[in-house]
Amino acid sequence: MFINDKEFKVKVGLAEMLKGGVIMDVTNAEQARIAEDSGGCAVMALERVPADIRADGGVARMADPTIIEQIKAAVSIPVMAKTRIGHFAEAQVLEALEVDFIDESEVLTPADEHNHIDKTKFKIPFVCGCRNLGEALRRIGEGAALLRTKGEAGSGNIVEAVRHMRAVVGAIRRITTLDDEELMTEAKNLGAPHELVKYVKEHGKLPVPNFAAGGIATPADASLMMQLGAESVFVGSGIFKSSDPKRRAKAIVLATTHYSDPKIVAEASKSLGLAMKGLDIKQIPEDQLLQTR
Amino acid sequence: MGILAGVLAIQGDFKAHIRVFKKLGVAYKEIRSEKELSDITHLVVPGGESTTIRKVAKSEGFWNRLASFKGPVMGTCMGSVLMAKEIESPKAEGWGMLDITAKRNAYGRQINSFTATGKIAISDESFEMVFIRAPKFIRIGDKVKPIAWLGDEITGVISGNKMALAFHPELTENSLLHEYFLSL
Repeated sequence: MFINDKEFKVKVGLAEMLKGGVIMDVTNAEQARIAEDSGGCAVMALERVPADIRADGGVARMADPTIIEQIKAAVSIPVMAKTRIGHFAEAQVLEALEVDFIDESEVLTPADEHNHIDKTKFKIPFVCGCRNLGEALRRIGEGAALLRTKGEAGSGNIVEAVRHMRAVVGAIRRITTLDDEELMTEAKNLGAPHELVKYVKEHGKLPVPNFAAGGIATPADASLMMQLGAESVFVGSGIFKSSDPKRRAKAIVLATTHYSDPKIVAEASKSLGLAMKGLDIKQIPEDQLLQTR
Repeated sequence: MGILAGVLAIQGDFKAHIRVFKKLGVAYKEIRSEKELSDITHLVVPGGESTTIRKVAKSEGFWNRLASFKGPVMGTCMGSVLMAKEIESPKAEGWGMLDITAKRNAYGRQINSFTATGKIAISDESFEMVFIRAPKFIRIGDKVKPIAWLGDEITGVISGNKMALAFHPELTENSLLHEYFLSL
């Protein structure tokens, strides 16, 4: 299977380099510089942060290449960009722009409601969201080199990311207890490639890194996700929708490095101003949830 | 005194180095603060983003302690950049452990990342090298010796007990360079 290929190793290699860090959503060069100066290990270039996409409605698409190029020119850290689910032509454009990572993201309006992009056809690595292990393994089967929880983007509410991380980690733990004879049925039930289910049983982990995303708004949110098993965190609206983005960005970086030291997380959490307001997930109408895309 | 390998764990692929030390049966610890440096014999600086390390380590006053670490140090990719006397793209301050100039992302962006087979000074066998947005050593001081090559390009250097590698031996199954580092 391709997960042992050299080219896949190079893709996963960049995901490895991003571990223990914070990847920040930015919409222009100035925000990208703030993200880099605050210690962000990568930026995600997009036209509107998820909270604004949610508020504005309409179709959310790949960012304007001009914005992506300005962001690339502004920082020396890796630059990621989002493509719509299934929109392989947008992904081709992002590859032509030489972004470092492509996020096939539920935050944008899906272009294909049945199929994701065949990510093995690209040289640039992809990250995809997941809510459970079946979804995670299907995305890896399509060639994703990095997984993240979906959470509920733009909500400022961590509850869904917690649900998704626990679902993935719990299902991995369960698979390690199965007999070999039970793996095919498990693969059928998960809707996941048998080979990848076997990998999970043998290694007790996914074949690619697993990060958290969707609703992270505070240093303690980052620490929580890291303690639940995330290897890095994506922060979308949480930084630039807060009252003091610079301080909050720096604080979330510190809390991610020192996630297991509550004294440092406490120090980092002091006087950050207002976090983004956030939404109760139960108040979001079901057809406006991003995670079910 | 036994070996205790410290792996800088502020950000980056520190777990990949730890995997190698586990395989070799070597005692290790993750280093996130200045006080954790006190009992280690060896220091590994992994791949990752140097701007992140600079930000976190400097805000905690731990940067100078790292820069003046007396024991053996091995830096891979970003680690090799931080060990350098001079850093380019953009210009930045390094730890000056090695009299070299390291240029960040010198091969280009992720689309130009690759694996290839090179040579190392300590073995006759070829060595798999993984380059991820890797740096190049564009100036190498007189007292610094090459230890790894990809074709004619010098991809690893050593001076005394300080070793800098532009690639990632921790992402392969070959632990020869880690073993050599532990013997320093």
